[in-house]
Amino acid sequence: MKNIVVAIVCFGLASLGFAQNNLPAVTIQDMKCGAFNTSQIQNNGKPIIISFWATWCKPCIAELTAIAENYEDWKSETGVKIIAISIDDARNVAKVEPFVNGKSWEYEVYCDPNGDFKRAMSVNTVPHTFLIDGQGNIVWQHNSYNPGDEDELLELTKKVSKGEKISN
Amino acid sequence: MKKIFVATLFVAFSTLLSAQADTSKTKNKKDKKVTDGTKEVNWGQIHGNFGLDAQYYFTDSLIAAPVVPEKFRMNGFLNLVYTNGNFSAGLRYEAYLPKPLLGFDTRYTGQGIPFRYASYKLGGLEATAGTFYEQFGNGLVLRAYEERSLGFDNFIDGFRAKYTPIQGITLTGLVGKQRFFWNWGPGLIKGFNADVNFTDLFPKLAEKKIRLKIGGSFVSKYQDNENITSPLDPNQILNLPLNVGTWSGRLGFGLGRFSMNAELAYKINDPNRTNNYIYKPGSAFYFSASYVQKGLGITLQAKRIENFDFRSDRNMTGQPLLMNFIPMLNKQHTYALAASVYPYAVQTNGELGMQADINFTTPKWLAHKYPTQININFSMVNALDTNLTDDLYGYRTDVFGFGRRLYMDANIEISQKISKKVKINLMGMYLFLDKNLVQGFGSTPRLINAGIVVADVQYKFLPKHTIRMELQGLITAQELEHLDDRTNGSWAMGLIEYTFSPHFFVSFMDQWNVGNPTEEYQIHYITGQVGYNHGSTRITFGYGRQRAGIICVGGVCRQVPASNGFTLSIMSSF
Repeated sequence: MKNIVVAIVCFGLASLGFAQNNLPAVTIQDMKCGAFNTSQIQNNGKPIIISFWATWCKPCIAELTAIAENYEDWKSETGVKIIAISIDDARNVAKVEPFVNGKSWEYEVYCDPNGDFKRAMSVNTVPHTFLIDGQGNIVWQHNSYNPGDEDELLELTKKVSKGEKISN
Repeated sequence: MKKIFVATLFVAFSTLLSAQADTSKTKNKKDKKVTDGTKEVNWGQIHGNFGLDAQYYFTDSLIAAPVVPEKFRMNGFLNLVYTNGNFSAGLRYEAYLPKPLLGFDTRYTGQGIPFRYASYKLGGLEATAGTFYEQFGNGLVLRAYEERSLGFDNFIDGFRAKYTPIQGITLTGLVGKQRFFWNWGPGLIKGFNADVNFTDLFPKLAEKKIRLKIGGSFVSKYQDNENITSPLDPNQILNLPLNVGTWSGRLGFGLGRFSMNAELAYKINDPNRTNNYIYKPGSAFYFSASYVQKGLGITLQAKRIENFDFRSDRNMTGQPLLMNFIPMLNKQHTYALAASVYPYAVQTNGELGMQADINFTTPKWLAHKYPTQININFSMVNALDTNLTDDLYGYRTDVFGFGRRLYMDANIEISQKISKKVKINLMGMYLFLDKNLVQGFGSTPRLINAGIVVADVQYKFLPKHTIRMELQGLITAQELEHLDDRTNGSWAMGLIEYTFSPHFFVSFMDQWNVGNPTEEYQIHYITGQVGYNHGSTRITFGYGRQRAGIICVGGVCRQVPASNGFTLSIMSSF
């Protein structure tokens, strides 16, 4: 028991010094079942939003639908690219591409059917949204979705696209 | 043993820190000239997440809540992952104090660090020592994963190597034992998987919009011999196979807007407790085809599963030590009455299932200001048509031998934005379930036919303030021969939720078994919740009655007993 406490304290202290700020490199799938390494995620120095979602997650769909309505404006105002990571497992993964097309979403979508990227990003539950600056640093993250959250996300994305510092 | 692992991990960790520090020093020497001297040491990154679910229980005999003498229980965990360049290491501390929450397996009682690993990448090779999760193909022959909300965790503890010689080819080999609460299961698992993506290898295919991928897996388990008497003759001891092998082949093909994916798996004789120790080989087939275009997506799926419960302990039942994953082919419902009153549970030892799913958005010329989004879904599952035999093979069946119907579900869901402030979501559904067969209460038919309707309305009355209301009804006949059942007859449900973006929510929900033939059991299950979000931290506090039932997430289900009490949940990532 003492060992465990020591271990936790060590790691806890260590984590204060250097929390995560870069994207981990994990191999997941594109919607056509081809391999995709998350180190390839980039947007030419412009901000990126990574949103973890699932076809069965109502708030996730509400969030991505709300953004989809104004995605063109978001892109022209900030240059942002949205990457939607589906955590659907083998039960639903075949439905992801038809679902995304059925919703007419224009996002880049990847599938993480066994949660490898989800674990690497320490995601507890979906929806979980990350904002990445032009240098590839995670500058903000948010768990859950309430209607209106997208307005805050847009404001933050505008700041990041201008190179301003933000924090949670 | 645990101490040794923790110690080893720390040694590896600290050695690496210094090693990495050295290399970054060298690297930074070059940078120094340019960046004017601030010497940076690459300490790597630590991140993780944390979760705590606690409940304070009250006695409530009306809903048959089990008595919790200690009153308070909690499940908690902390994940830590350290990465530095190509190295990563991690661990998870878990605690279930003084016992796991009601509904979770009590064998989790205790605390410790069951999950710890170190992993290194070198070129195309990735080696992992310790615990890991893995899935081969669709998971028919191997899937190690975690579903924390169900208390499901079957990670493998051992060694794994993944090798990608060139883009398009991935080879994986692994050896290990599975988690069994705070210990390991008795079976040793060996697995090998290969995936070849021809579209990556031959760019000409990509030019012609052809996608071709093949894959194959071999997985075997070894378990020591033991004396098990034959189910046919109590004087006969079974001659058990100590090594049980499974293999699977996969094909993925796509042309433009069409895609298909098929997997066929086979298992040699594997007498085990779930199949009553028969020697019949098992098989599993999964097929999926889809068509997509902007505004439309169609999926068709089919599967046939026979005798395919695969575990690293031949005597285990329930959730523990499952080595594979049989996907359910029905819609994963989220509205409470559709999801959890009469849920389907996958039958790993025999079922034939199919599903059709269509998603579309009404075209612009048809829609008024805002397009309508529609999902139509149909699924049906039957048991295998089996003829029992009096030998150790157990039964005979045909490939297309459809037996009794287990489940059917036809539903339509319509989402419509009415104005900038109002959105509605409507669902209608017909459901059929043979409750006895599906939930393992014997083979006497217990047929449920139900109609479910849901209206979900969201009204954003100020930019950050939203009220959402759900009204649900489940209409079904009373089961007069099951008067002791607290899930009987029709249900009504109402939910009201107020959210103040981005930080705050409060909700109130009532599930009412209005049509229960026993008047005393026409119970209101009322819960209230308040929650606060800040960044990646979410805290919710609630009070209420939880009804007994089955909760299914991602194809795995667990029985949840009724409970009454205060709940506290904290989730955070860093």
